[in-house]
Amino acid sequence: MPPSPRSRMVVANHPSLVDVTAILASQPELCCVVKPAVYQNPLYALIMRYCGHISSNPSGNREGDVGQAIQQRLEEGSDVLIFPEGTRTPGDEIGAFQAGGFGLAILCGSPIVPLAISCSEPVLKRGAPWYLVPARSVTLQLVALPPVYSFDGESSRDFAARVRISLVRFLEPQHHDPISQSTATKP
Amino acid sequence: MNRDQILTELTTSLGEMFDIEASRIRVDAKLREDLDLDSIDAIDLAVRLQKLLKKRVELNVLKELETVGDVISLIESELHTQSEAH
Repeated sequence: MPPSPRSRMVVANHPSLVDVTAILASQPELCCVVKPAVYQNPLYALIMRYCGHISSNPSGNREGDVGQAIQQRLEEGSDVLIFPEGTRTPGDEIGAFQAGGFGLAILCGSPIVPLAISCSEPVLKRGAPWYLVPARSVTLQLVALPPVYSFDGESSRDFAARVRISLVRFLEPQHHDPISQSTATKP
Repeated sequence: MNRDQILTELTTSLGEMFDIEASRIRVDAKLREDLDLDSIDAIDLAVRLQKLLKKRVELNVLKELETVGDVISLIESELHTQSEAH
């Protein structure tokens, strides 16, 4: 079974409300998994559909559920962006990663491109009022790390944990990470 | 490979992948209810099936599989199709 060498799964941490805007400004071809409130918004609905974005609503895609839609995009050769924390990072630490997207990448033979996002100051975070912005302008930095391939026989959960650790180490090299300490990974 | 041989292979794979005891893996065992496989495990199983069958496994096919017997039937059918093609 040939892999789909052209398609990549981009996985990013999600510190701010404007991450998607910044990512799509630099990679406009990416297909994103979008929450229903945005995907079905009358202002965006047609754009979402025609640009090939994917609704996170289980019954919101023509191809079937979210996994089937992602599988189809990757097999078509499109790159897909997911935020494996499932939502914006509430605090300073990157949360646990949901493993489904990583399993789909393994299934489709697509590498993972970890995308490390950092803000010079906390802004537009989950739970913070949008109008509370720092007095100084904020710099959002996006760094794509080298593509990561799954090992032969590696489970989705272990692959997700391994990619997460690479992002945590890149963003906070000195930081003690409680999740990776407690995550069991196969040798 | 006949159904018994496929069951033996599958029992080994499920044991390796999900630490399921061989005694729990019967033809009528339900993947979700009896073997506690969730949607992530199902994708990992699909990856294993792809490797075995050397063929793309679509998620909608996977969703139809309820029991160990269904997985055996899928493998049996694919292997039969492949042997006829050669």
